[in-house]
Amino acid sequence: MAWRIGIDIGGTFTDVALVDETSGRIGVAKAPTTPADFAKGVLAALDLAMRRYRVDAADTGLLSHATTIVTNALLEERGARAVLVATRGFRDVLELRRSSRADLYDLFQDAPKTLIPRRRRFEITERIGADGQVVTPLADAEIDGLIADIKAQDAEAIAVSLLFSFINPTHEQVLGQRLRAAFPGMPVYLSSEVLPEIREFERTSTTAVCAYVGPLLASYLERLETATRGLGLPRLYVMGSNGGVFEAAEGITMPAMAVESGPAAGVVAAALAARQTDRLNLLSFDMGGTTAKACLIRGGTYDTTPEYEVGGEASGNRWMHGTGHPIRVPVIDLAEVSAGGGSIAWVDRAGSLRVGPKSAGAEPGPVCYGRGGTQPTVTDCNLMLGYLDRGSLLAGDLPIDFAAAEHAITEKLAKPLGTDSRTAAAAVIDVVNHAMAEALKIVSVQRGHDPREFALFAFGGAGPLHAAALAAELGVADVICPPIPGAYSALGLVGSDLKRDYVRTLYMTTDKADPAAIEAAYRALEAQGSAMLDRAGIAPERRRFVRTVDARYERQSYELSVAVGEGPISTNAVAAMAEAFHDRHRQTYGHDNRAEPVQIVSLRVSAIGIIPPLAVRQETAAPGTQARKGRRPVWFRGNREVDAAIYDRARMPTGQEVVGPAVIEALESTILVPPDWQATMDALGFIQMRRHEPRS
Amino acid sequence: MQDRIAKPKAASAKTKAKQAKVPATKPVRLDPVDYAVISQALIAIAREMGTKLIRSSYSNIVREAQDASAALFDAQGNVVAQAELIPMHLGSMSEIFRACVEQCPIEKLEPGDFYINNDPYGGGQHLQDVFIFTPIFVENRLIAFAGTVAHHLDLGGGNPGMTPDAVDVHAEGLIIPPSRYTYERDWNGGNLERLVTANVRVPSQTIGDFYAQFAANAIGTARMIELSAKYGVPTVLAAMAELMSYSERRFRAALAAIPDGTWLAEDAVDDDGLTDQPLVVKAAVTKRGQSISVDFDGTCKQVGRNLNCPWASTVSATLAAIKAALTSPDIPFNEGFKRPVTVTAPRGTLVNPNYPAPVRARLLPAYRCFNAVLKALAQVVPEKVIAGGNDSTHALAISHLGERGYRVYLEIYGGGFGGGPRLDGCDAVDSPLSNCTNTPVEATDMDFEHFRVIGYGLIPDSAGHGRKRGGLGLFRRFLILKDGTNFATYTDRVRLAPYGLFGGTQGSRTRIEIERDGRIIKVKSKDRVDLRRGDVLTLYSSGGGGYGSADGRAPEAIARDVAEGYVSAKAAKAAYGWTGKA
Repeated sequence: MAWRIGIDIGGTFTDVALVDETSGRIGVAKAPTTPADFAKGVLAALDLAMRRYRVDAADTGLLSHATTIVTNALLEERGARAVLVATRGFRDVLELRRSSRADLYDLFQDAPKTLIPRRRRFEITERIGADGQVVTPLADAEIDGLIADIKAQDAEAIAVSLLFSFINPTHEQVLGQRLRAAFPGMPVYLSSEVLPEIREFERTSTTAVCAYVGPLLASYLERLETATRGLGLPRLYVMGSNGGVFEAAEGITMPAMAVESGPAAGVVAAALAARQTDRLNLLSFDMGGTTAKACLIRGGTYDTTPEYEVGGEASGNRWMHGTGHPIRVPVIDLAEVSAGGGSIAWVDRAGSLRVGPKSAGAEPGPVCYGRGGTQPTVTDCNLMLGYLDRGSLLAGDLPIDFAAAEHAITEKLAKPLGTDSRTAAAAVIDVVNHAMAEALKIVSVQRGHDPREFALFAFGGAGPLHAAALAAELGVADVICPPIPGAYSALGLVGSDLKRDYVRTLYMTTDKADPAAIEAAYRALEAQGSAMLDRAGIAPERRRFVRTVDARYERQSYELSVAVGEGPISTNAVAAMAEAFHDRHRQTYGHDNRAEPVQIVSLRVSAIGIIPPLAVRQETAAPGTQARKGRRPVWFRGNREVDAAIYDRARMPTGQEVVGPAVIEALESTILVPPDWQATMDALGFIQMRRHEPRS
Repeated sequence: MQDRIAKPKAASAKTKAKQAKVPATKPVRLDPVDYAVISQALIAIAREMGTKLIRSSYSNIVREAQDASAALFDAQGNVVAQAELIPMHLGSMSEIFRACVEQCPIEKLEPGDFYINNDPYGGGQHLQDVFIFTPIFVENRLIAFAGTVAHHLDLGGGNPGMTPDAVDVHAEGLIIPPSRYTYERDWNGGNLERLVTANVRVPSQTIGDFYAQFAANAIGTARMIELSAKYGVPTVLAAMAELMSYSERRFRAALAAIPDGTWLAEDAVDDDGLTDQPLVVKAAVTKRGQSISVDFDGTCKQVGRNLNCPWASTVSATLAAIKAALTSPDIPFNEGFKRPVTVTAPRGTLVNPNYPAPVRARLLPAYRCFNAVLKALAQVVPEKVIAGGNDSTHALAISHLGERGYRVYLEIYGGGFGGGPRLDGCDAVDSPLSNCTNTPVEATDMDFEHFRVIGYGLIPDSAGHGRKRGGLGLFRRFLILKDGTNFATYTDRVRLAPYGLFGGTQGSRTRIEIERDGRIIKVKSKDRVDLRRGDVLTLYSSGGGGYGSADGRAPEAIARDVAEGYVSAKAAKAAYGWTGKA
């Protein structure tokens, strides 16, 4: 027996999910998250899980982890004392950003505080030209003085970002060598190593993020790995924002990769289910306490986007561009909205109903938890409508105060809106569903995909409650809810491949491109990937390299990424790149210009170490088990009260059908089956829901 | 030509921003949830149009600076929802639309038609901003319009990029009067496209940007058709009307909370480039009940150079100042927001000029309208305004005619914001009416061979002092690599520095210098210069004014400014009596 173990640290709970590689059997254990020292909570949950499922550490084949340390360090401004070295004349690039502000009419809105303040930013005389030639040689004589300046700052990490280093990295390399020699043991991040890509602000920002969070991430991962090794567990992998895992040591060389580790795990888990259930086209929908995440799975896989900002702010239901620190590393292309079970509903001064972006979080939590919450939340509204049990949740662990929830909804929502509490609660659910539907549309409709061709895959603690309504809103006919929806994300950690992305800017138009130069550049990137896979001990037959190219029309400035076919780059292959680009441009923007040459900007390679695929299953109840445990009234929009059957998920045998209106209750998640819907338990423990009466 | 002057109603001496409400064809009872959903969808559509316009455009002024905007309109041309990109474009899109309607009534439009307009004396702003409106038909019924505007890099005229010495609007480029055309026949290889192509210097970029505008309008159209299919046209129309009413209600409620009164203020553009006479803009802001009016009576006469502000630009700038100071940022900007506002100005003044006054640099007087209104409002809502900032677009056009044809680099720069009641002013950002994005140095250097950017940074000691200091100005430095390089510019705050408020001191002045053979050549605020290989051209933009007396500044804020090098120890000592160590 070989186990794979995934550890997902959430705001409230640390989840450990286990999978038995041979049978696919899954298990889950939870322990309270310990923000002061995450390793404590991790060890507690691991200990519980290993005892509960009698796991022998020696039988564990894979240990993987989703970390929030990078994102939190940025949000809480707890990063390292980093210094930055820039080309003479460009010390302030990091602070000048892109000069525009996020909110037009807000005279007071400003950019986030720079990660590396001005006093710790230095210049060195040197200049590479736009053609890669040295315009001004690196001033060797200044380096000793620079080292002295850095020493005086008591620095913990160094970032170096010189102009045009993505074409000619020699100045950065020479400087890097000298700095590494002068500061042994201190991390030195060179922009040409971190991100050899055009646009100085974004490259500098990515490098600065690495230096800012690198020391913290390194010490955290070292501590955690020491602890897990102490339990006899194997080496620790970390989930990257690109959906692949990487070795802890690799992450320290590129800490920006560890942003959005948690949401990425959820998407990977959904992709895993897509391949396992052979439903290759899914809309992944992961709804927790404060946010909901939407992602498109097509052909069993997901897309990544090269643009992302960490530590950004939300306004209404949108994350505002320009409020965070840009990083240019591939991040799974997901849309996140501040809409979750804890989102607070309120009526604004003009009498309009609003939901979020504020969340009651875990503390005080929804009003019905009775922990001091007074603002009605989405969870309170679900309770009001009968979708959640009025007595208790979490199998009796969480007593529910229905009267308090009803009072809050009446006073804070129904009275100002001039309606009754149930109508108000139903309106809240509709508004929050709409916001989440928008997120689902961003990843489907706005990318040119018809949601009706997808099944909705709903997980996260609150996902299955809202799934059917969202499906109806999008015209989706099928909904799938996996086993252990509340901890399902953690399974993504053990079901993904090893992956790291490499990029290099190479300017060439397709009509004048030199195929040999492109091939050589790709090979160089693949060599870096091979070295990484060597270090991870991945056998040659388990390696894969995926080439893509970022291209645009010559005078544009935003690239579209297109796949590059197999085989060495030839003249034909270059022509195929151009064709693929024209198609993608038309698909994205509605027009193309086939007469025009295509500008190649950057080449990308994803180096992948394939980890044998995983199929998960949860035992269903024995045939004939009685799953129905009662009935209660539930309300749907339009003040429709109906009598719904209540089922216990744990007692549902394979093939059991549930006809809506019904509610299926499980330990950490509830599924709502509205009228017109029907749910079936499959042999693997997935519940499939289908609308049996297509809307006219 | 005589009739040009009288024709456009939008430029009449007393224009009310008020417009008739949308007549609902069939009264529909609008479900509050449908409203919440559809109103968000309308805003999302406008944003998607804006994003796609910028991402698929060709010139650096649109793709990098993001000098473009997009909006959805109802069937009467009222703005319903907008992509919030450039405040300057957005306030006046319906005025520009209405000038088109006067040429071709809406009833005559057919699918495939579009309105186009860039005429400053036909409701437009300056020639470079070309507005295109596409009617949206659902089941053969015109239900809405999708509209976009982009600042086009070059539309002809006397000099590449801009013509500082233009004596009239004709010297500034191609005028496209408000008109109706048909896409398949007139664009898409048709005669209008050929006419525009023949009149611009870099058609490869300009025409591409036109196509991006049409494509963005097409996306808005497709999304509105989807929305109508789902909810039905009557419900969508009702939601559009309600979205405007919502903004109006929120704004009127905010107005009701402010005391009634009239407040006067003025600010000035340095000069017109011909004399040293400041061009004074005077505003009288009157708030009564739930309405507000701004009258620019007393503003100086129109001038002979390009600093005249067409009526649409004056309205936009005024609305932007009112929106920023008096409403919370979450109130959607649309026609409903405009209903409580009246803007008036005498004809023949700087802010309501008569044909054919040149208008290329209209943003500078527009900023002074913005400043005058904010300064007036400072008297009644001091906690909601900021001091004077850089508040200018410093436009730099560096062009060269070589073997490969014209190469035109045009970029605009901001500077420091004024300090505010609670925070220091933003350092080195674009100014509030334009909010443009900068072009990466690496992208600029890749694109142009006639110069290289050799410096870009903050200017220490450029901010005005006060309880909250102003934001710092910025410098941008270019090394000229080719003889025969042509430089044209308009800037401001070169003679008249950004003002402080409530005891705060003024910010630094803007300047442009050319270093040639060890000598410094001062460039005038509105100028054109032939550059040589080896010249070093530097723009230093203004820092913002301070807010409140310097006595009130927190010692730790002073210490931090000195430690970061934003303020020198010497300046900190002079302004705040600071004697500590950084």
